[in-house]
Amino acid sequence: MNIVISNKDDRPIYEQITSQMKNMILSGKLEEGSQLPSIRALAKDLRISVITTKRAYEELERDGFIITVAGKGSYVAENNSAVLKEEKMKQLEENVRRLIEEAYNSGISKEEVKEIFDICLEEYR
Amino acid sequence: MSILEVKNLCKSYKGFDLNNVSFDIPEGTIMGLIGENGAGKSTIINIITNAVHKDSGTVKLFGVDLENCGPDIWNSIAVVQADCGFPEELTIKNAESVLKGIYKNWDSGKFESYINKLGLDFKKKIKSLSTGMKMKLELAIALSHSAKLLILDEATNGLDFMARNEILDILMDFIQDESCGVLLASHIIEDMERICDYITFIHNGNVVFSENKDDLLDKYAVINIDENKLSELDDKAVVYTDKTQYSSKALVYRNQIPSGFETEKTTIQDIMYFYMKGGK
Repeated sequence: MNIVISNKDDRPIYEQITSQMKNMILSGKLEEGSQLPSIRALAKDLRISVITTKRAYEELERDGFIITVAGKGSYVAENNSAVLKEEKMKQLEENVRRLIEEAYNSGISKEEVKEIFDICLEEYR
Repeated sequence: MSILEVKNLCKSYKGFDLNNVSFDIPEGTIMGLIGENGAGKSTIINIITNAVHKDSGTVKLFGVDLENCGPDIWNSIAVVQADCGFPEELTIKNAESVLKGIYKNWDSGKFESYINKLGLDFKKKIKSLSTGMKMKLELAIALSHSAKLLILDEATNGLDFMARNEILDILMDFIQDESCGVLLASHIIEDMERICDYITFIHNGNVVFSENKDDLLDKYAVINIDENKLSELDDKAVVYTDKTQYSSKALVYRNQIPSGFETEKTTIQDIMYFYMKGGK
């Protein structure tokens, strides 16, 4: 596991952790059922606040990526393919939204965006 | 239980009032106590450590009222300042024999390991130590008598980058035990900001805010904007502005900024600066 906390990144630190851990889980770098470092140990390692780390873990748990067993620790959730699919859809939606905003700012019309999108889809198939 | 609970603390001096100061350090957390020089941080610390009497309000250490604290509680509190108060001619070894007599829970093994870890030398005299080394010695002492509350009073000022990082690691080590807490008082927190769980900001003897740090960073943002555009923003969204001849910046409530305005991540230092400067 390798987490990079950057001051240049505009997102809050807990979000930097959750997004990187999600990516590691989605890509299989962090395997189902594998144990994660404790909140305090990770906070120490990254030299960040315990509460920030706790918040990251809580959000990962809420989104179904990890589970926490009281007194034992946190683990990568098993059988989470539905969660993974949903997360990927969410990421895609965000990317599309960004594209649309970019198009809108450059004065490209709705029809033109659709056209480009269809052409690309067609090419990919 | 809170490690430290301060409630409605008041103290009047000629020309300075500490007004209704309240904050809490929950177990296993680090509190940053920030404010400019003379804001009241040292007065608060002096009251907590019983060096100065308060006028009113309550202070509880490990759940016990200040007035009822016995030697056990005083032994579990350590104050670290930039300058240690030892006679200059003593060596670190000499100083340790004095400390053994003072602290019931003195752990020589632990002290030795910290002295080595921090690159200090038992044979060195206090007078030959640099500011950074004196501070490290203080920290080693604090960690060798099983303190549960560590108070750092402007302790990391003037330390170089490497030393500050060493201190960060030691504090994070300390906080691995969930029954411990840290009060980090400084007018400048810079890189220490990252490890703070809570921030209490004191200005002219008053608490401006005492909150979870992540919530603060979520709540506020900085916006770089020209003056005309600034006036388009809702007055309630703008906390403070900072205008110079060629640029203007504003501290804003992030959730009240319409999309299309580019906001920047803020730091506690930024928030403090805007509050101290004031003015819209």
